[in-house]
Amino acid sequence: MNCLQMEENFSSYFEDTLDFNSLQIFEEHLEYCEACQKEYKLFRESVSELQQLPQDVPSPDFLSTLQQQLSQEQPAAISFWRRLYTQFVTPKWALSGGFVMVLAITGMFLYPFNFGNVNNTITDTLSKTTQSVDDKSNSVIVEESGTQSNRQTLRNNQTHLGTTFSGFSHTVSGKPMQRRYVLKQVSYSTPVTGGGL
Amino acid sequence: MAELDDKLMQQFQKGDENAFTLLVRRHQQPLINFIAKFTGDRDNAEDLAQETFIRMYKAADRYKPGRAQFKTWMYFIAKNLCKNHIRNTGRREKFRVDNVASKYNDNGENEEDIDIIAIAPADTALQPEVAIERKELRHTIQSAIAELPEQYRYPLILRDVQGLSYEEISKILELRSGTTKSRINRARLMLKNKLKPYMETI
Repeated sequence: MNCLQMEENFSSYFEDTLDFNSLQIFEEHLEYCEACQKEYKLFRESVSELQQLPQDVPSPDFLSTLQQQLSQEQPAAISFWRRLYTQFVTPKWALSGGFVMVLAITGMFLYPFNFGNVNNTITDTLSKTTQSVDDKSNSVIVEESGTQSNRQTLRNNQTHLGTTFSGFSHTVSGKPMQRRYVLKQVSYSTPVTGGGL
Repeated sequence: MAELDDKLMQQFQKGDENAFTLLVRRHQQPLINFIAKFTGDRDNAEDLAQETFIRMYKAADRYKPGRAQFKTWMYFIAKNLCKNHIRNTGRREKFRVDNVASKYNDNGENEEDIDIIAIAPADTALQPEVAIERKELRHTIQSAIAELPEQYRYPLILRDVQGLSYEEISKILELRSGTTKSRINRARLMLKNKLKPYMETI
């Protein structure tokens, strides 16, 4: 350890935070190096004097002056909701609660599309819509026999009306959302509107 | 200490004004001491301390117990106010005042003002008594601190005058622990070099 490296360790040595190896090396150097002895002595005295500087104390009227100023300020602007938050709701609870609420709302929104009478709903809608198309085009007969026959009906209808169903092929997979998409297309593509709507 | 501050702040957030008064009582002295040592301007230290407490009072609802200590928050605000104060008032005039030490007669009356930096290393004849020496030494230290660059002055005062831990200082100054340690060591070395001419004469 040279003299410059010694200086870098003055504070650690002064505060007794050097590890054992560094401490040994530091003290060995300090023992034979007069320059470092002198510098460290000055360092120690300077820091000690600094630490013993007299404390500045507040004047007797500091607090009363401050209170006077604070009385002119708005009282700590702590809203009711903020107080409620700090008092009752820890961030962990808030996070869990928020997550549960999001789940609940999402569940309520998605329920009609995924469960319950979804098949019936689609079949009914499909039947009614296709029936409507059929009434006007007189080309297709809709049966209540299920999705497959309806799909065939729609295919016929498409050919007859000369419209394009970009999403039609997807209905083969039988996913409810895709069926719904097809139904919308059909319902607006009647001979009356000419597929324009 | 920190837990008590947190509890008092929580009470204040619930509307208990006395809790804030207690916090002021607990921290007014170290805060004024910090500001006075940092700015070297005792006359304005109380005003700046009051401004610090007023800002804390107004921003109390943003304080989150447990996340930051009241003390580190207080020093953080005070540090910024001090910076602005120094920027606005200018350093030179303030330091000229700092360099002046008073020489007292036997009755404790002020006989003469001495510019310590100008005379200290050369003229030992003007330091006849130990009491005066001590007083002058303190003024010299104060002046030496004031001459340190800000980035070294802050951590030095927080560590050696205010007695804060390295961790607390790192939070206040938003520095890494290693940087804080090296700056404090560097600041102490700078102080030692500034005091060297004076210390060698006494």
